[in-house]
Amino acid sequence: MELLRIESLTKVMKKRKILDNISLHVNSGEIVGFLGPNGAGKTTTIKMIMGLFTITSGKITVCGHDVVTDFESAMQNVGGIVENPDLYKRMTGKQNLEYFASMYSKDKIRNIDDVAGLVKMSARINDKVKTYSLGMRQRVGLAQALLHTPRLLVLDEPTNGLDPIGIKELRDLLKYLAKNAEAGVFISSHLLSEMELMCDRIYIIDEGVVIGEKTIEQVKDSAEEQIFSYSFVTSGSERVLEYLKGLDANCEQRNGGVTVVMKRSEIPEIIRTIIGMGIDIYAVNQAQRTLEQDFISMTTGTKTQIR
Amino acid sequence: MKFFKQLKIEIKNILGMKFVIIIAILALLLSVVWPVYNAIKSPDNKQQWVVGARPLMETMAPVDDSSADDYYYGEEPIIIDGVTIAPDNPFYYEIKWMKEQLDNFDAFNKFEHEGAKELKYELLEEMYAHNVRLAKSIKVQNDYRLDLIWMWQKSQLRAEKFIHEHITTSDFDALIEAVRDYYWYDPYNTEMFENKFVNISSIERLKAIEDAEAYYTKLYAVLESNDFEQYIFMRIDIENENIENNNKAITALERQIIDDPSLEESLKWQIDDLNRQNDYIQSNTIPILKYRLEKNIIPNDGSWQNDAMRDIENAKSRLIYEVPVTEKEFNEQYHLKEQYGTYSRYLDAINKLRDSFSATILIAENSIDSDMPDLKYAPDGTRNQALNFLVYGSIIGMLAIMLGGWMMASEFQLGTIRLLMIRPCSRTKILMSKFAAALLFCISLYLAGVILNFVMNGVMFGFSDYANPSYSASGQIGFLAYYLPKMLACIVPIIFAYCFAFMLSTTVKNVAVAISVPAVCFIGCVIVMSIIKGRIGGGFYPMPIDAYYYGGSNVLEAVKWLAWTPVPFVLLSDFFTLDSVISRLIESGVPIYLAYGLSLFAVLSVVCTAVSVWIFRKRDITQ
Repeated sequence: MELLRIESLTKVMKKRKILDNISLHVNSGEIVGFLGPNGAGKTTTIKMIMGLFTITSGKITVCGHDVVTDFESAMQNVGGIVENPDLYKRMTGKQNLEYFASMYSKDKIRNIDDVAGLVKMSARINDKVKTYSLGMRQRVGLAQALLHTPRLLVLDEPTNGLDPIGIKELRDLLKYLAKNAEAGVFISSHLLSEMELMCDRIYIIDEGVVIGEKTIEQVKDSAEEQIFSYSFVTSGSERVLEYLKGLDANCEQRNGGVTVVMKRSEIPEIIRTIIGMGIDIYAVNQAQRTLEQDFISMTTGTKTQIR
Repeated sequence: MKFFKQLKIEIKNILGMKFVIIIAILALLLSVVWPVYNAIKSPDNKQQWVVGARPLMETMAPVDDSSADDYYYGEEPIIIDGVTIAPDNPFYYEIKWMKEQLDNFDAFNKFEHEGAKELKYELLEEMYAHNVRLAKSIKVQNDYRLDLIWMWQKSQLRAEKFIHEHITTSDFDALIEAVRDYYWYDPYNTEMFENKFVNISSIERLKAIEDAEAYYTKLYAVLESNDFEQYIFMRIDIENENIENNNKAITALERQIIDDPSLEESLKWQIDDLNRQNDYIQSNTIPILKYRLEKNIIPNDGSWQNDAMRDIENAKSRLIYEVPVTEKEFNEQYHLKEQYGTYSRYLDAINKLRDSFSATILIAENSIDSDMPDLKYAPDGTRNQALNFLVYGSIIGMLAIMLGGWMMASEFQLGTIRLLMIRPCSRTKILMSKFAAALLFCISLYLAGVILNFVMNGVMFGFSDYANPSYSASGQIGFLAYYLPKMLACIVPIIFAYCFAFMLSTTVKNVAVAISVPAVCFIGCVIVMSIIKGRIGGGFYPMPIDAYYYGGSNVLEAVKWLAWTPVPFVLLSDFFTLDSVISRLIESGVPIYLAYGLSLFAVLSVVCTAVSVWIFRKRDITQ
């Protein structure tokens, strides 16, 4: 079932086109990534879904309810975080949640203590928000998005400020919600590696235009043909360098290791060869896949840099 | 329904704010502490306005304040025949001086004529005995019976009596020298003296002595019996005597005119004046004395009835003298033309003035007749305490500005607006519920404070004053009916202040600006009004405002212009308190209309709110 549908959405602010005719959709049970560099229009799109921005043209529907004409029904079905979750600092986490919960119809409201447990905040939920760290505020922010068992979750860079354990917990929680509660998740990020680990589909946006839509399988497949930078930490750097130069590869010696740029699919063969040469390999590191590289590879060369 | 649910949520939210609760508690505390403070400041207020029978002079001891001791510091009381005459006795200095003279008579007096010394000594002794006798009955400076003693018509009576007694037996020059200090003798016009004392028959002389004797007997009787009724009768007798004397003088003047018609021009004026005096005595002085007796209103006893009587007396005398001149006379009198411009304006001003005197009389008479004082005769009474406290509305107005400025702008500044606006609740509902919640809070706080104060005033100053009505030309009105509309009217500026701050809060999105701009405007209005107060000054009677002197600047024009702006209405409670700038301006005839001010505030409030909603509905939340 289609939970979110955006049709040819355009936003003009101060005579500047922020979003240009974008369309996308999110189905139930699906986690959809929204990937793009800073300033691409991710937050603008999310603000328009949540009713914080007016719509210049186009249409957004949530569970069949138009966000503009039927705002209240649409919002009953959406939970979300937009930018940083700024809570009322003078209240406790629980009071914040109670305040927000009171604005929904009662039958859909989850038990607040349960929600706090879900985001692992039970221990601190009765403390004032001003004593919270950024990560804790992020967790309470997530809790307020889950309060009313929304069918669609819209999360704007929710991993900001979370530690690795927190990120993993979030990932697991979202997967659980998508699978078991048939919820749809629309999540924005500028890190593809993060997206890879949980998303079923990814939209890529740049300069207010959706420039690509890929399933996670497509992402993984394409990764085989992508070129990355690898560094080899071995017992014989000189010989490895010599060998790689012999392959006509772009390589150099750096930080006690050898760095080479090549296709992912070629790496296993190289490792086998080096071992065959009697050289010990201590580590092979693939450099973080940056967005820039993704753009270079995913877009047919039109987008060469991030603006 | 959804709106009311949201409203409930927002009210709960406001009640959760610590600083709001602290201010609310302080405000309520003020409404309770204020009457207590006022009562402590003037502890005698509580008893002063209790209506009912008042004690007569005997128990109405003078205010025995210690400041009197300071004032008469160093003066020793005089003891005569076992009676102590205190330094604050009105006759103390006279008696002291006479006693010194008698004790050292030769040192003080040198005489040219034989026998003068003995005569002077005798007269002095007589005067001394007289004063001591008065001092025994009248012990305080503000004793109303002093009227009888210091009446100018009778000021020379004792000396006159002395002259009558001795004119036939003593040397003329010696007698004149002896009475010099107590009788004014004109050596260049001896005719009058001779007609009065010399050229009369012994029977007439005897009668004069007897009359004087009778007068003093009566005077002593009135003083020593301390009988108010007798005092009034004596005053009326004296006034009748005055009329008689005036009539005699008129007859004499008329005879002069008959003798010499050329004098008519100059003497006519004197006759007119005497006639007017008689008119005044007959239509004013005597009826008021009778009225005092009927209502048992003893002068100078500090009661409100006396204030009312004084108002009646003053207003009646002003009504006699403030009579509009004819158009011809107006054109002849340069200063009137200068002041009023046209005759119709002058007529208008004078008639307004006369109306205000009539109103004063009406209010005073109604108060005395029903024995229930109007508001103005209980300036420190419970009712005025309650009315004065309406200024509390301005304090709540300030709170309203703070809350209104805070409500939306803080959401923007703290970023919490984002998490608020993604709820299933339309923008208008969210905005209006926040708007209404804080406004309801302010109004409730105002009502709670005012009601608390109303009760507390009753406790501190007595509830009985609340039972007294207010009077006007159209009849009397109970205090609650008088008070309630005024109390409710004071909510209107609170609403306006709130709406204005709220509008800024929604549009400017900055707490500091949204609070400080309305607050500065409010303070500015108060300053402007106090500057005007400084310019028009104070006066005892209402005057046409054209009659004030403005020191060169045209305050009147400014005020007439200001009357159409919200400025004079910001401190609305000023409309309802005695002697405020506004009430003074209105009394002076400046067209300031309360109903206009209230409507203006209502319209502006609606406009501000509409602007808030309109802008907020279509705004992008960029925070």
